[in-house]
Amino acid sequence: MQAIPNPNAPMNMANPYPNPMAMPMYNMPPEIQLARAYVPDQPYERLFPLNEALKKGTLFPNLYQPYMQKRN
Amino acid sequence: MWIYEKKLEYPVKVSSCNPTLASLIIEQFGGADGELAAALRYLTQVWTMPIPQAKAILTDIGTEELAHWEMIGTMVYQLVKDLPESKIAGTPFAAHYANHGKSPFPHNAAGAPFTATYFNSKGDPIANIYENMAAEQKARATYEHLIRLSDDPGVTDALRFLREREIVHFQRFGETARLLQEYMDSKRYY
Amino acid sequence: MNISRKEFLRKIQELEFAVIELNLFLDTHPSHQQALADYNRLTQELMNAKAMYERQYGPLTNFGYAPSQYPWQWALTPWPWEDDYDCKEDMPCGYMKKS
Repeated sequence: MQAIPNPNAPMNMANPYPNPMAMPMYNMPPEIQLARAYVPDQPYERLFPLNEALKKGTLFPNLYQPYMQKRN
Repeated sequence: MWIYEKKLEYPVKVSSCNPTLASLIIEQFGGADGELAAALRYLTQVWTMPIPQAKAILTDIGTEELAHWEMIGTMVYQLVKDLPESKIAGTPFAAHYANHGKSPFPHNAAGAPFTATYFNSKGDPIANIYENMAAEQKARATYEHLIRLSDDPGVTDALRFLREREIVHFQRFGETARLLQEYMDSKRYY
Repeated sequence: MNISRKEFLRKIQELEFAVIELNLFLDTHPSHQQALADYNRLTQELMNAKAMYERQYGPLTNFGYAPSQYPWQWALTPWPWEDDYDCKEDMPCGYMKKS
């Protein structure tokens, strides 16, 4: 089991999001309402080198969620 | 107005002839959650979007989807183009070949022809943007099914690229949903 | 420039892909100054690369975006689905290869 990082922990500037899925709450609207879907705002961080970006399908490391194929 | 660029968004490298795989990936050429449905869905929704960011993202993602449609059509074609007819008989591609020869055609993997009922434009910004977020997830799921079915490394590579684009587009539509909600709240629309 | 047409095209694809990504980001973040600066810088690079490519290999874009040498180059240079990028030479589409 992977520990869920505490979004309020002090930021490590070299790797601000050890788990890129976990965004601090300030990327969400300050007031949220029922019966609405919210996606956190994407922080603008490091970019992939351009050749890597094309291969991966995104320029943004924090949006890169590759498919891990299950072996069965 | 649209301008055509004489190149693919991403270089596709089909490794070998494979009519069976062609008949499967055609799902994304003319299926319910395919690239043509995506392009037409977004490009049709632009007229009734109330904020500039939403008009921009729909135009730009809709245009990018056309480039993805071109990639899928190219892969379908390259998977069969050098194939002698005698090798098509008995493969799942034969039913396609009977009507369309080696031309890609927008139908799904089961042969159902493309239809505008695959998408909608409600004239309601929130309903539209949630449909688009769902569409990106359904396309992502389809790409995962196809990646599991693919035995061609070149095709798998392109499918992985296209799958990642669905994730990026979902994020952009999510951000657009929030901008739309803020706008509607400021107008006390609902 | 000593690289092949396909390598050159690949460079353009890489640059343009980055510009597409920044374009989409800016659509929902129009006031983001760093993203805008990156977009403008890469757009300039992309425009230069395309102009250089088109001088050597013919137009990438139709409808007045690039002039043509004689004869009309647009129709004669390879189409995207005919371009094998860099695979075809070493991986011919041999049906027998996969059985």
